[in-house]
Amino acid sequence: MNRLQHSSDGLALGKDQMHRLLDALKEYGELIGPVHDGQWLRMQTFSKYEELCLKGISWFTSKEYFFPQRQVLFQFDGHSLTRQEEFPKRVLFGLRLCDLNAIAVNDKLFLEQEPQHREYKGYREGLTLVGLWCDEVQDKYCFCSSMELEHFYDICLYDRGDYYHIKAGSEKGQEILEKLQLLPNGPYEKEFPTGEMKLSTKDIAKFFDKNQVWQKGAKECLSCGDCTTLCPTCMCFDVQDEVEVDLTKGFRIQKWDSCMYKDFTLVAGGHVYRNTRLNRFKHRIYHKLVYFPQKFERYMCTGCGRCIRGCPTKIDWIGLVNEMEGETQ
Amino acid sequence: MSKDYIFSKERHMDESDVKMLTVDKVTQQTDEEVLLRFNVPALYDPGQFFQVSLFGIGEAPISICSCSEDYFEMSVRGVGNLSKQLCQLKEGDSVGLRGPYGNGYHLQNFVGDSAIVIAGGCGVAPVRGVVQYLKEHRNDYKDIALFFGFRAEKDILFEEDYQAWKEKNMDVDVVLSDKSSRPDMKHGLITDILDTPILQTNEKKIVFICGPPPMIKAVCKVLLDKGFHKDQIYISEERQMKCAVGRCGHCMINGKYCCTDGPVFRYDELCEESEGYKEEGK
Repeated sequence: MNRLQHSSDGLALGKDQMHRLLDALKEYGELIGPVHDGQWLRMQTFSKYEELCLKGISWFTSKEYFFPQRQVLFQFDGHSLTRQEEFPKRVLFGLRLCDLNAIAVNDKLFLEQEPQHREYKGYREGLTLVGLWCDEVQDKYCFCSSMELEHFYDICLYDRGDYYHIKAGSEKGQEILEKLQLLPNGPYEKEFPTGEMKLSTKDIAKFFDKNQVWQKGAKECLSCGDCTTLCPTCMCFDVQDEVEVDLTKGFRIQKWDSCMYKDFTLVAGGHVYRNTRLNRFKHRIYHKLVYFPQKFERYMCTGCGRCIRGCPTKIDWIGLVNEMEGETQ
Repeated sequence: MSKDYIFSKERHMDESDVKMLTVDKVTQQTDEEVLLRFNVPALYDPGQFFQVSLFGIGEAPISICSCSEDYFEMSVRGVGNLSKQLCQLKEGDSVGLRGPYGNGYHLQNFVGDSAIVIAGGCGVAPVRGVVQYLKEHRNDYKDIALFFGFRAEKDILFEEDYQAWKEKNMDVDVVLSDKSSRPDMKHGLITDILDTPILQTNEKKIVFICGPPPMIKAVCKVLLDKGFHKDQIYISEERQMKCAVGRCGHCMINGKYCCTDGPVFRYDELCEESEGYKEEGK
């Protein structure tokens, strides 16, 4: 993504004219946006603006569209291997800044170190990212204002009532908008919304030994892995072989995995390195706020709040960190 | 002229980039371990590993136990789904390989020092490449002492090499934990044989350790008590690894990836809170 220097200048597009934008975007791939299916708000294929639900945050992230839950690394037949050569082109529409930033985080892991992840790269190059600015905090679990998010999109929409103020964030976004020949709308900037949930510090390395506090969260943990499944930056995976009944043909696949599962660190012989829920719970949070930044110089959390929103026992790790920070004051 | 290496540590192979190779030689080492040899040019450091595949069964990291640019060997103990099948391989069978991966032992950094190698069980395999390197460059190092521990006589690995190592003026001391029927091998734990002159002082010495976590922990304690510094101790770690290129998350030891930052770590690089070294949540 060749990003442009951030500018608040944009164009105007009436909400009754959104089909023009969508028609232009269809040239860039299948449209995927937040659609409410009666039970869940989730990223799904759509064709008309009216199908979209642009209120609230999608329960699931869009990661399945560039990091599928089951990804074939290669197909084997005897000793010959075939890798995936074609990757779909997709437009992810209506992504919030948290989910857009999550893609920037994922890029660090899969594209900005050697070797690049071939399949991730294939999907990622086919993506067009259309953001939707949050005018207000979407629900009580959002804590994105604590996470230093950046403008990361091809196009971003700002809701102005009857119309959208539209900005390009990349050369590709600029190219798309040029085709629409929209009227300039001057500069417009909307402040980033702040909700009730805030992380009082991200420097949690100093809390590593405060196990009595971490334990409050860990003892509520069911090791179900919902937090990691719903997290837009959790990209840990397992590699397995699926074999057909003739035992010669099959697939080497990559599947979503979770550091919250006990067998995540199981080695041959039976030893489990992160054997306790406390170890695993702490590892997830430390990976996000300490380990990942040490290596990639940005937080591996974008404050979307899905890990708490989707947790069956609503483990509020933000509250635990704030409690420990409060004790040190 | 540089050789046409089939595998090279300079090349980065991704998860789906698997190369098929036939096994050139299979040696049954013990009841549980076999040695697989591949006669292809490869550029690697002792302590690095390959991701080895059998299609339909899976892939696992196996450490390299040789030190040569003309071939490489891997010693496999049949304990997991894949390793049990690897132990059934015959000469001419095909396996999938990608690698070499990881941060190995950089022995060239310690020229002039005395080298001490301490290993237990199949942990002897990863350090055998270290010993082969030391043997080839014997004059670059001062004293060299090897301390190996096994359960019983039938579990001893690479005994066929010991004589050649001794002839190069390298001490080989073996201890058996179950019982010893051999007059040249003591009965006990590896920590029982560390009270020797070479370990009395830490001056210009470097220690390489590989073995099961409790052994590493116990040996490090002995060394630290003897006055060795943490930055004189190198250990080879083992974790579940899936990608081997630093992203699947399985092998993380606190902030470090065992597959790319390790598997060989300087002891002080693993913080003392590292899993496996500190009991937590009890």
